[in-house]
Amino acid sequence: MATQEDNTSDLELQSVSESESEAEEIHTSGVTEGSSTQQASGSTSNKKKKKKKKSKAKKIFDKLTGNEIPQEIVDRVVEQVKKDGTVASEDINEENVREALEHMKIMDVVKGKAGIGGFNRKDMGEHKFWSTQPVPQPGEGPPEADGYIDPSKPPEEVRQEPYQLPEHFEWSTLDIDDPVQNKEVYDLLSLNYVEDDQAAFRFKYSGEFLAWALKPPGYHKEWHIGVRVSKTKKLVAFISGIPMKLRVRQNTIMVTEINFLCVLKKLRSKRLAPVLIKEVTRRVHLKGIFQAIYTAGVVIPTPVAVCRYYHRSLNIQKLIDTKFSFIPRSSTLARMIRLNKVPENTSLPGLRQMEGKDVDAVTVLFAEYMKRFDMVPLFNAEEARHTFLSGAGRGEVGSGGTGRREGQVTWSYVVEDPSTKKITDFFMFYSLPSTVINNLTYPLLEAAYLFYYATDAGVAPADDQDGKVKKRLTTLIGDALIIANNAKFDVFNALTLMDNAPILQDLKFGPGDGFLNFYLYNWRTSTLAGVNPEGDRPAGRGVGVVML
Amino acid sequence: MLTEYQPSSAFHNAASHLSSASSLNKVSTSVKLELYGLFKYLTVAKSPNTSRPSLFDMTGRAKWDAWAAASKKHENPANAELRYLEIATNLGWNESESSKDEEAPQQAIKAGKKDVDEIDLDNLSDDEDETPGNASASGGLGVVVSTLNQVDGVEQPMDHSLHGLAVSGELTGLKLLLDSSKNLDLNAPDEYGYAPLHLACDRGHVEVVKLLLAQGANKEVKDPDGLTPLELSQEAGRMDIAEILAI
Repeated sequence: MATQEDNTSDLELQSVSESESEAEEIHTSGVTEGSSTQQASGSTSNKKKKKKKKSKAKKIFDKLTGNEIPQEIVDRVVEQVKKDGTVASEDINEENVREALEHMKIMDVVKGKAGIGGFNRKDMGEHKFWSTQPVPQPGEGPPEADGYIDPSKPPEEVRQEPYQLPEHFEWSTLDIDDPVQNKEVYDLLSLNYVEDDQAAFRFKYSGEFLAWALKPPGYHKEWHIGVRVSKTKKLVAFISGIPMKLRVRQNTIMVTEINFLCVLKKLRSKRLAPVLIKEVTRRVHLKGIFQAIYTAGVVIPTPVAVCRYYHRSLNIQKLIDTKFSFIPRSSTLARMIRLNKVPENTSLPGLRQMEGKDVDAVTVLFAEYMKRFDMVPLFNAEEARHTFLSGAGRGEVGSGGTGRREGQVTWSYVVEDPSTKKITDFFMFYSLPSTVINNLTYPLLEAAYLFYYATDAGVAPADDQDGKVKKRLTTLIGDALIIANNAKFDVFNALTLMDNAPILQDLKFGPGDGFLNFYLYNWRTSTLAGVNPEGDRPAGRGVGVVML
Repeated sequence: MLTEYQPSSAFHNAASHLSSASSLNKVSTSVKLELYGLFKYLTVAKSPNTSRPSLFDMTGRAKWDAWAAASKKHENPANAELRYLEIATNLGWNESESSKDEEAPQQAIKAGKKDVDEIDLDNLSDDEDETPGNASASGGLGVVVSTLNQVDGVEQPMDHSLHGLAVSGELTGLKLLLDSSKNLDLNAPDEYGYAPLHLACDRGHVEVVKLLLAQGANKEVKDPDGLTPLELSQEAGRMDIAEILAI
């Protein structure tokens, strides 16, 4: 009996604390709620005496090495706890708050090792690595001027030999055109790539998706990098880069877009990720490119923008059954189904699928429209053709299921003015399903993601241009929802970037639990408007890059 | 006094199963905490006899609260045990099967904790259940799987009121409640205007609907949107329930 009790309580301890992310949620909710801090001040008083003896030298040392809790955080917490009023003000002072924060290892939060309020709570554990990289370091503050951190190197100064992998592993360059190798990447990702925090959903990028995402004009096969087990040749890790011309505020730079970093779950402890990042960087340097753009759910040094995911429910019943969504206690499934009903037919006259003949017009419209944002890709016609049309799939609509072509990844539409025949608008979304882990009824969640769009309402200067853009986009993206619903998507997702933020509410999107951090490698610029406005830039308008 | 309560062998069996079940890695902290609270209640004492840990001992405090909550929720330890077994069953425990695989979970634990250098590189499988706990750490870069934010951010605490049980579909709990409180108004609206029958129809709990009807719940009562239970179940796509109500 006693052993039983011991075993199980140990287990519970373990399972409660084992998952750092979940434990962190408990930690942080405790701070913000600030409920009943009285016991806390009691229990910390013993330690306080000890800590008071901390020598001055140690304090200075701590400050220099970053172990000290920043004053502004202490002040903020003191202020918050006092405001909540659950604790008598005289019980709260800087000393005991600082003590408590130290106790909670708040520095981990500050340094990005842990999250606040369920925000970016995963620990990438690579901060040592990032401190060696040319990225803005924590505490740097906004740069005085935009520009590189490390100067570009002439080719002969770039390391010529690949980085060393742990024993028993070897580098491999993947050919995405080869069905066998494409399938290997597909298998690796679909079983080991990004999951949500509850491990209920995991991205399932299709082979066609990978071909669309990884082979833009001018792509380099050498940037599709795999790691294999030497003996069996099993693919166990992957990272990719694709070239992109990027405007960041007033500067245009050639960058590589880094994506699909994935390590087999069983080998996560091998620390392959930093080696993969270094190797892709080396291969990118060999092509004369020294900047990169990438995204992550985690906070690492140092985000240039953060955006939030929003979700428009289409198939409510399935979203509830798969626990993607929940019925609020104050509502009913019946009501949710009714409120989220989407019309059957699109509303804009002249709306049709984009075709090859539209590429030039769309390229121009897109380039003009994207001037509204601070960080945007610059596509020539060839790149636009690839990005906007090459994922359209094969055969007729319906050959790949209701409303879909076989192998269809992207849905691109234009509005052609019925009288002038001009292309006035363009939008696009892509299909990225997720495996519903351990769900036999619904193995796959069909998600559509809003991609690029443009409207001439945002091009010609006009009074209240933002208001006109919002109005037009609400109709345009409203039609995108109808098309996605007719193609049997379960949910339509969008981030708070470009002009999305103002239209999300009217289109019945709800906030998600996911945030996406944007990063630039070897490039400094001040924070771009994403989920929140920055200065006079409205929310979203800083970010014009949609990552896959 | 509770300390006299002797949990059944099924309880011990389930506890031992959970102590090695990989399914625990996938459940939310609140479920783990509920299990913890129930376990302490059933094996140690009805409620914690220590003082509540400090706000800054988050884990200790959460566990203390969970234990206290378990005793508050379940007056009768037999109900606490039922609840424990219910969660265990949801997490894959099966009373009849688990006795024979006692060895297997132990091995799984060992395998999971195996030192990395012992990973058998020649036989790497993609079996997702073998390395629990780090599912989300795919390496870090890339986009994010997001789901809709829950209204309250956290799982709702268990609600053992008539309406709460109609929402959760807990038939046993509902039977107990109906047996113990004879004067309940089965048609009373909750704070949002829903009768228990509305909620059970909407959430798709067939057995609860049957029980409520058998107890004389009104089939014609309207919800805030003006819907009867039949209309509600039809709109919610609960056709099995609509059939029962149409009789």
